[in-house]
Amino acid sequence: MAKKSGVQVTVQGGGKDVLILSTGVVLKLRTVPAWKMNDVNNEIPHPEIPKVAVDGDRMVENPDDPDYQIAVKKYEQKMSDRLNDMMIVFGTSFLSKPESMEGPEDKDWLEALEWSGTKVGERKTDRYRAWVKYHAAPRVEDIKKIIQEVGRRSGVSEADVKTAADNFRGVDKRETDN
Amino acid sequence: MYKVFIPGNVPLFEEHDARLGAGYKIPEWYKLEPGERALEVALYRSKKAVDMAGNDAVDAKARRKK
Repeated sequence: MAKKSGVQVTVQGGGKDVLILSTGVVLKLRTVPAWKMNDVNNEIPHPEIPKVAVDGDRMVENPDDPDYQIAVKKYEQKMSDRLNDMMIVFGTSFLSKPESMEGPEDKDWLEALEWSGTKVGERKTDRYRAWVKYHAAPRVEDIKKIIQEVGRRSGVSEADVKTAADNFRGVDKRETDN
Repeated sequence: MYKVFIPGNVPLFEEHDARLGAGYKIPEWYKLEPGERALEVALYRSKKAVDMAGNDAVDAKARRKK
């Protein structure tokens, strides 16, 4: 329940500290420092909107330029990959796995991955990131769950705000009905 | 427009504007459950919407008087 606003509405779904993936791997959830995400935003520059000349020498921005559209798509993909990596590295840590499954320090999963052409760095963090992405969380739903739960812990989720706002409407409705 | 740092999340500036409006210090804010923080942001947005509607009404009244 919200403390200082004094509104008596309970919002569902908070307080989870662990995440169980489809493979049975259990990750501990952590909060990503807000400024780490800010750093990512700063390190990947948004493509500049090209300008075209109209009415002689007047220059106006042309966001419909096909090359610009491609550059924006590439930018969004790069940004999304980088943010997802940050969420995995800063927002989770390894807790447990099924006995039959390889862990981040094992070798077979890594060898198969490198054979397929995906380079994994030497650092422990590189291994952990790759292990989560390619081994522990193989389904899109797993990655979505990581992003959603780490996002909720590291800030405020739009979905939670919508749920809270829907609860207000529920309170209003009851008051009007009575 | 506010800049979104985490996809699917409320922009950082708006989150902290809501936090300040509700009177929380940063450590207190992050001790709240995610749903509780969301509730404060929802309250902040609804208060803002009410303020804007009030301003529009005052503006419309002033224009009618002219």
